[in-house]
Amino acid sequence: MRKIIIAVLISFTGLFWLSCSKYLDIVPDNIATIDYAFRLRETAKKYLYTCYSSLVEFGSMSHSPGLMTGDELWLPNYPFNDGPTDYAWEIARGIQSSSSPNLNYWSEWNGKDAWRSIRDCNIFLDNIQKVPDMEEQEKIQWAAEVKFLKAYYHFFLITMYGPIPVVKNNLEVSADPESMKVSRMPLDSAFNYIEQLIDEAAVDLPDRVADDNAELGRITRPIALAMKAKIMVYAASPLFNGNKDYSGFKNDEGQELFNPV
Amino acid sequence: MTVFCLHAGAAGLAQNTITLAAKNTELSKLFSMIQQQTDYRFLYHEDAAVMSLKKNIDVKAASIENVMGRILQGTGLSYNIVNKNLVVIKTAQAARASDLSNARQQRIIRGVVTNDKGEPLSGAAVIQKGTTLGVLTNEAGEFSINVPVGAELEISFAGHVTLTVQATEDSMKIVLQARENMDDVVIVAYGTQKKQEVVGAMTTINPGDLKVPSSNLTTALAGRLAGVIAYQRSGEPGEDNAEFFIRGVTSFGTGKKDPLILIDGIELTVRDLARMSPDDIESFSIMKDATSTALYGARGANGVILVTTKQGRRGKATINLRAENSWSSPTTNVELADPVTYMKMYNYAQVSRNPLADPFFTQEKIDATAEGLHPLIYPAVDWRKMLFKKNTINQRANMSVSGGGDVARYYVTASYAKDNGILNVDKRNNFNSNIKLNTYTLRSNVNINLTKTTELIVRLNGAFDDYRGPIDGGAQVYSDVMRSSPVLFPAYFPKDSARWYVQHIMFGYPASGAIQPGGSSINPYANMVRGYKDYSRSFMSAQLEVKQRLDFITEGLRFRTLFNTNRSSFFDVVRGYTPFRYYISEFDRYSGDYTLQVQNPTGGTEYLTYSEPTKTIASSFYWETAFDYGRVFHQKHSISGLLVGVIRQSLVGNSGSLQLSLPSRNIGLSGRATYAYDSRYAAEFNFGYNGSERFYKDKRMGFFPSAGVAWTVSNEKFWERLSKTVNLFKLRATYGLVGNDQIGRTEDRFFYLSEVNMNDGDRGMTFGYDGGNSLSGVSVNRFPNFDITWETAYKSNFGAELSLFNNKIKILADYYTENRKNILLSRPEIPQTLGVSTTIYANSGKGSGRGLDVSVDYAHQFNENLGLVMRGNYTYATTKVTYYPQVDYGDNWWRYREGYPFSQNWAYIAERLFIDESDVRNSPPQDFGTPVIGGDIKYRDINNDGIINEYDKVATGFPETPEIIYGFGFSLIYKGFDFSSFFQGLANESFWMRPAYLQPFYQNHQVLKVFADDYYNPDNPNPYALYPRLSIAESKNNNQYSTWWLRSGAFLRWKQAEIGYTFPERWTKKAKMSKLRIYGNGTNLMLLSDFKLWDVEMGGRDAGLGYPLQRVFNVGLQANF
Repeated sequence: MRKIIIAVLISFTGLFWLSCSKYLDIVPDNIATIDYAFRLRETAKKYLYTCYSSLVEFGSMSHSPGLMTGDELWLPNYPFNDGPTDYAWEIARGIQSSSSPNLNYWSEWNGKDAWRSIRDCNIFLDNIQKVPDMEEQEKIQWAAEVKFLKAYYHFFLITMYGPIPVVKNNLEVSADPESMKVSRMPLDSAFNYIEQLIDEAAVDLPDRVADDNAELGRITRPIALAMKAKIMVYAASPLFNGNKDYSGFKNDEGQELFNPV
Repeated sequence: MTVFCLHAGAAGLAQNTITLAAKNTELSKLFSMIQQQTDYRFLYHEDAAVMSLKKNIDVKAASIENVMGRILQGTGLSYNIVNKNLVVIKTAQAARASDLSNARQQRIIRGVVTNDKGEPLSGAAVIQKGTTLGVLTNEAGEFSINVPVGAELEISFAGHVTLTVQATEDSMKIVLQARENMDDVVIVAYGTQKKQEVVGAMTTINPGDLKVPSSNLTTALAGRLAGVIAYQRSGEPGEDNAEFFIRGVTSFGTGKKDPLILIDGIELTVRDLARMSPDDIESFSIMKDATSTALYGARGANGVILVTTKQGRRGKATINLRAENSWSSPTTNVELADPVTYMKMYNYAQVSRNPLADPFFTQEKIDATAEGLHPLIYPAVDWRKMLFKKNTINQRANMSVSGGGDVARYYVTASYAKDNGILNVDKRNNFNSNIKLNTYTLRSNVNINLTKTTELIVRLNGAFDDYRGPIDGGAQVYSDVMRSSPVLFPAYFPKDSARWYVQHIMFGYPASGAIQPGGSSINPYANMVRGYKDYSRSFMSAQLEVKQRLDFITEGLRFRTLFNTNRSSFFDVVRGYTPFRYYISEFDRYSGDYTLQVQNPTGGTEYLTYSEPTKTIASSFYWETAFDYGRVFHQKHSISGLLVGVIRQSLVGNSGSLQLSLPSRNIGLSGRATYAYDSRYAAEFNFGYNGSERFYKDKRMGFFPSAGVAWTVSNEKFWERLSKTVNLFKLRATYGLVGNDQIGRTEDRFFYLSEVNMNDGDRGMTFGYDGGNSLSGVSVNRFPNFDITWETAYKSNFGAELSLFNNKIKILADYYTENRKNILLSRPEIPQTLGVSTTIYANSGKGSGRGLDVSVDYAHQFNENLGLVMRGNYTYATTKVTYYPQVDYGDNWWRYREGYPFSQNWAYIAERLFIDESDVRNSPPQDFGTPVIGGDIKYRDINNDGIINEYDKVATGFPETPEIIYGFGFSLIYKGFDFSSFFQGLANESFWMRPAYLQPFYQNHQVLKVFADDYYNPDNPNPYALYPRLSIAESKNNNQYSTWWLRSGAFLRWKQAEIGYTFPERWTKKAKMSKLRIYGNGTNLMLLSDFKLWDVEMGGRDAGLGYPLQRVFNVGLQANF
């Protein structure tokens, strides 16, 4: 009897500690991670669309900064026809607030988070080469579209906020706080970078989308070059080019943000 | 005569064969030589002349029998071996001699000694009282003793109550009661400990003190247990759990802050604790410091509550019955403004912000309402009176049966509680939508002795809630009442001749164009009675435990293993109809005739529709295996050890995502080693080595050690002179680490895995000529982080225990400090430019806590009839943030959280109301999104930068979690009567009145009477009026958290009083009862507080407009058979 009890006890405790080493490994292998987005062409395409998804809706009444934020257009009642809140119009009505600004493209409020879009673009550019079932030509074209979008988001942020830091490559989330403190880039360098991205992209973009029914709206070379022209005009404008009002306006590395000439 | 004299030799030598060579040596000397080389011990009479006989012996590796035979040959002595190693030498001649000298008749009494579980007690001393004659029981607990007829036997055994019986029968059965209930042994983590040797800080409470007239045990905790911060915010049946924390809230992360709750060793939820009946609780204790919680390792940092349930006792079946009936009503009701004032204020609120606005309520309507004319056309509805009853009746009953024999003992209990809400019911519905919560619990604990050393314990427990109530819940009904206009429509219209055929209730609603701006068209009465929700919650637990004594390996070693699995489930079903919305389309203001129209002739239904909102199913499994060892050497050295391994797993059946659906697991090995010397010094070391599946491989396992010492000063020699006044004086000190692995939000279970939504519609795009090509996008909800691990608390505790004047006064005081590190917080320094829209966390926060728990007990029995017990306790727990990552506030140093309590709030300093427009223009601009005019709150510009913004918020008031909880009470027993009373209070708490919840008219809010009495208006341009200038839109400026709305949460309440009468035994015996007691009691009887608007204990939650706390009067009957 005693021997049986001892044997049972020893096997019990033995089992207990044998089982424990694997006991905490409960996560199966196929949990979706970001890598899964680049295992098939179709999921990679979803990621491409994601990069597009944050483009500003210039046609939307509630979200277009150009349409309703001025007083050229006025509506009879608020909110207009009990519809969604007219964020853009609130700015015109003087209800913009500094704590939760409307049409916030810096962080997502009722605008869109342009920085997140830039991160998405970088993730796409880092990973698109991994997709196994795509033609090389298609990869190059998609990458070119995303390069353009990355340039465009940077440009859009400059129009809203002036000099900004430029995110050429993504920082790791777990990076230490010091390396996360990025500096604003001098405007000329930023415009140069944007221009360079568009130039790189334009080479690989098609003149016209292959299939109007499926792809109309995707970036083509004419779009890229037209935007480039517009961006260059901005860069050359007295606001950004030789703005005396901002002489001495420096980033934390001591670089002059606006060129003095 | 045989006299005890126990010669304990150097024990522990495993060798049990004897090699001995001696010439002409005294027997006693021989015995001690044997003792030195073996672990045999000898019991003999020292004076016996034969012991000085001298003998020769020369043996090698001989057995004890061999040696004893040689030694005792020719001495007239005999021996037998008891307990494996105890050699008892009998002097047969001496016994015979005393027989002759004693004229009284002697006879042999045989018997067996067992404990109350029927286990035989071996080595129990059986002594003839008044003599030194005695024997020890053998392994089977049996003894035989030769005593005079009628002699008294005194039976004693360590840890048990000494019993004196008359030696009457030839074979006696003697049951010794364990001394557990006599303050000797206390429940500690995974076991028990002698109270004297306890080093850690813990509070135990007599479960009887938790008896309150409520079916929720957690409501009894506040002020009764030193070291517990507890308060109750809601009185809704089923949702009325008090919030409680051990030594305050000592983490400021998003994770678990409340204590680990273990019922019979199994981790359960607050709800399970709330459902327990105090009648079933054997012991209730809370573990506060590192030594008492370190065994729980990564789960014990917030303290531990240990509850054990009663077990059966040997003896015939005893039945305990308790039945109660109680009446409950809200402690306070928030007073609302009358309808006429409501309308006047509304009109003013409109005009005051927009001079061109048309007042919504016409003077004619106001006048007619004031006159009380045509109540259907000019309604003035007191929604609260309409919806709520004044009080309600609840019932509770509990029955338990316990008993058993040598082989098995049982404790079976069943309880039932019925809690009713205070909602009114419309008789025209054939269903009842008032809240009715039935709770049933069934518990069965059975202990079986499989062998003399093996015990099997089976515990089965089920708890079931059946609820019926309004569709949106009781709190929502309150909320609706506070958010409905009293003057727009009546609750319902009576059936009139035009609509004689209508079978449904004709609920009143405003006509679509007649809703006041900012108002809504909820009819709270319709919402309440339009249907009902049934929910059913069940919890079932099955537990098997085997305890095996391993004395045959080494004395004092025990093994036990425990399996538990439980299942909990919840489902609800909603049945309701869509009310037809009636409104008055035209009326004659003189005759009172009106015409009704239906807004939704097609949308409304008379029949019930049905939905199944949620179903929850969860299961868990737990396995614990432990070896423990406890033994006393040389009477002074007490050593104990414990090694326990646990694994647990829980699964939720509808967690909603793949990652959350994976099982939660823990594995751990814990141990304890204690050493106590001479009941004076005690030292203890504990550790927990735990693992949790939540963290990345190299962060999974953590080691949490702790150690402590205790010194019972009063057992020292030098204390003897004092020991009459100071019976006990003990000092304790501990230090150690404990962890908390339940950090962060539940969604963020696996920090080391990324969570990607591969099908996010919000991040998709559409292309194509006619937008024909759409795809959803990919979004990342969480980025992987391999570094996240648990919070670690570094706790130290210094305690003192004092008993004075024959233990009449007992004082227990503990001072503690705690440093908590690795608190999971978001990283504010992460710039927006990183482009991650999800919050990134890190184990960055650090905080410290310190506090004091004191309890004082006084008990005195004046005489046979009169006894008094007084009790008081005080808990102070404060915290301080030592590191909190925040954005750079530059010179505005007051914005940093370091140095402030965890739940400190930052708010603006309200100076006064603006006097007029020019006052506004001459003050720093207040940019909150609404224009500011005279009568709005003016805030102080703390940093003098000429603008009121975030930087001007300062730490204001006390923290939202109270820092001080105290309670005191007494109970008095005079003959059959008992009377007790208990007071409880809290202090150092502030709360906000939640201005956005209270702002009149905004979101259709009603107007509080106190606001109607004192608000800023042209007639009352008081810059210190209670309510600032009215507005019908959200007044963002006035609704900021500011000192204007800050109130003190401190209160003292007369929590409970009870009077009872126990019928004299001579009466109850006739009815075969052992006890019969009737009693009446009440809770929440009186409240002292500066804050009068609502019951201050509810604080700022729901702005005090939720389901109020209840005042309960209760009568009950308790009978034992």
